[in-house]
Amino acid sequence: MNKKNHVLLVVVLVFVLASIGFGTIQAQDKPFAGIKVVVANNAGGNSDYFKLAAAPWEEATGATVEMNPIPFGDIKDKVLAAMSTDTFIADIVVVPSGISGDLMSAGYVIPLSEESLAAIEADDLFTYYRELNLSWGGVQYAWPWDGDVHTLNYRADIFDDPANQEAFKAAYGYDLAVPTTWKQYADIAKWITETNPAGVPYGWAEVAGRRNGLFHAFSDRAVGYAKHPDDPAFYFDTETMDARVNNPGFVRALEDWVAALPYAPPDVTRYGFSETRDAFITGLAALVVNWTDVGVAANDPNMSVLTPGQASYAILPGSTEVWNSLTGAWETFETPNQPGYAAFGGWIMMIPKNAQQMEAAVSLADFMGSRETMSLASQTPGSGVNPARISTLNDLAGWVEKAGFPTEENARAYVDSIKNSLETTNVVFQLRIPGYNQYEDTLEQAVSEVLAGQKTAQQALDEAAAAWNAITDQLGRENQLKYYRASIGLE
Amino acid sequence: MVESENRRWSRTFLLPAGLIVLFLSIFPLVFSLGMTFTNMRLAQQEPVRFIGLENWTRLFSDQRFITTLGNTLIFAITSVTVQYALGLLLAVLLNQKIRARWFFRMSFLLPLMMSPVAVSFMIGKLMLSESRGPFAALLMSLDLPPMRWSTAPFGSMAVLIAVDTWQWTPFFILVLLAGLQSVDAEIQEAAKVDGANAWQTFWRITFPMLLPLSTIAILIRSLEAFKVVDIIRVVTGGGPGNSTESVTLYAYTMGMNNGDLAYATTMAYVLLIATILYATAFLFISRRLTRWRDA
Repeated sequence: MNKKNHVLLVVVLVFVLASIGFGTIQAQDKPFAGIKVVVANNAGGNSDYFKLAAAPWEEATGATVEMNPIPFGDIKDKVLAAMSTDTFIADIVVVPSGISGDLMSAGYVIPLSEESLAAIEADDLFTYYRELNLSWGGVQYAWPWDGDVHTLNYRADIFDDPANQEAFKAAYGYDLAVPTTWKQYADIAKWITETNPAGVPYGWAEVAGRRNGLFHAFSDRAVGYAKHPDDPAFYFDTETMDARVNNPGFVRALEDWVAALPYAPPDVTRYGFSETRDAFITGLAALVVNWTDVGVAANDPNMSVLTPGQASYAILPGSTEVWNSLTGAWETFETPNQPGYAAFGGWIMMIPKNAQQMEAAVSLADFMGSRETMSLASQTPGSGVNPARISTLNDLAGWVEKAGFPTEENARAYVDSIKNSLETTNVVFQLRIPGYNQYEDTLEQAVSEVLAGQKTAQQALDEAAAAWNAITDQLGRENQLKYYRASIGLE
Repeated sequence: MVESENRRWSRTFLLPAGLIVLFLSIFPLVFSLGMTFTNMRLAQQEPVRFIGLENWTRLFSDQRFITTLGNTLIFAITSVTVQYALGLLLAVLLNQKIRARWFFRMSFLLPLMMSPVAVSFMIGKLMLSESRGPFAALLMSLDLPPMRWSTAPFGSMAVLIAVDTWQWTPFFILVLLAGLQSVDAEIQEAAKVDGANAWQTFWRITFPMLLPLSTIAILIRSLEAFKVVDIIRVVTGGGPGNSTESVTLYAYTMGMNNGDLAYATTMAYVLLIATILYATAFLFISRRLTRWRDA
């Protein structure tokens, strides 16, 4: 071996040793180097964004996040099936809060430690979101990610036009303003369908498609008539667990909905989230009740034909006539009852007890559920993540800069529509007791039959109530009562 | 001696195949039959226990199940009949000596190669959209009222049958065209020489020769149609009400969505029995029909 080769050998050895040393230092800095954390999430929803948002955590920890996307329609079934058979599905599951009753009450997931509660700044979350969505029996089992609520999106340009205001007042005898009752909403929808202001052909659109959100769309309307502020319960009686879905409040909500059908696109009874969003941002309907993604989508020129500012936002309409289940009588309110409805509750993160990378999973969940990650996600168009934090909603400048709202005033209308819904003590949260899917399916069938004109509201809802009571009996009335009371924070 | 040894060897060689069949086919069948007598659920809150015939009695008093059984029969029989008639017509036309015959043959086969979900979305959701589709735009431009098929049970079922027909008619074209090409041309020539016109040749000679093939094709398609779930899920979701819900969709909803596995399995069993009855009746009638025509 000549001198030249000796030098070359020494250089190579130094390089190799340096690489090993550097790698060791790096591995020490990166606590989860080489570890893979599997995350099950809904395919095509916020799954793609989840991976993007987790990139800084991957960089900091050396771990990699592997997404296990599951089609939306299958996610509840697959997660339930895996957990109930103790089969590994993922280290973190991102699931609709509606199945939290099944997962938390059965003890399939771990609770958050004090460290995690501190890491996610749990006090910054909306109280009801935290208590009724993320917790069970006073213990928090889920990390926050997405907060869902249904709000009203409306065409501000139509409402602000003096000619429209004059014409509407002449026709209906009161001012054209953001509707605070479903009666006003129906009047405005009818007027829009008949007069097509700003070229908008239909009055309203909602997620009225069966298996596409119909349960939520009906609940949006029913809360105004049947969620009395003195009564924490809505769907069930808290003493007997008897279904309330056929009480006069629910029946009137459904009758009013059927009466308003001619003022919606003809296929509204097949609409899901995207069709309803598109109806608004493409100028097909002027009043749209949907998840709050619509507000951000309306500002996105790649998706929307509306110019920023043409859209504005409000809490769901309600009713001045409210059914009180405790007294069994209608009550008349001076100001409309507008409880707000946290439809779907949101995509929340849980860690199964059989997670394979428990420590890394907790670290990732802490990062994703942190104030910074969630706020950025909520304000990023197309992320599929909606706000659940007080600080996110207070950041008006962020909504203007990142989410495309034209002015802070317009952004305030958007965040207020969410705040007013989630901060009211009368808010109704997504039903989340075991068997939720079965209750949902049965009620959707009944409502769908009424919307199709096959049955009267009373007849269909009586059948739905009987079916709900049968489901309750089948699952065990005593247990279901216990779960329902826990789910609304009574115990 | 040698014979008995051969038999022993042949049994030994057959054993793995027999075990596989037993494991993959017989065991699930028996296991699922056993499930129908239990209260097994996903995310079970109480222990699995024997409940006798509860699921079976519940099923026959379940109005929704009876409706879905009726929907499935209407869908399967109507759609397969329409597809067969159209398929036969198009197969006869494609069997003629026409220009660009290969192009038409390929074009007619394209729908068969597409995903049912994609076809359902394209036709049921986009083209037939009552507010945005091309037909809606056409009606609007003619100042006609919009179609409102999605709130009408009959209209919804008709749309489902149309979507299924668009996708599956090529299956009949393919099978019947192959059948037509295998018909001996000399027999048809002889009929013509004897003075039979085109219709008589087809009805008396060609069609009877296609009957065995038609029977198989109709049976295969019917068995598939009985299990329909994808296009219904995409186009109508089973609505309005449950007027277009099939047994399979209902079983899926109850089993996977609602977690009631035992009840869903009971439904699947009833569908299996109904399908076997249908297939037996169909084969019996077709045999009688063939004998009658031969006579």
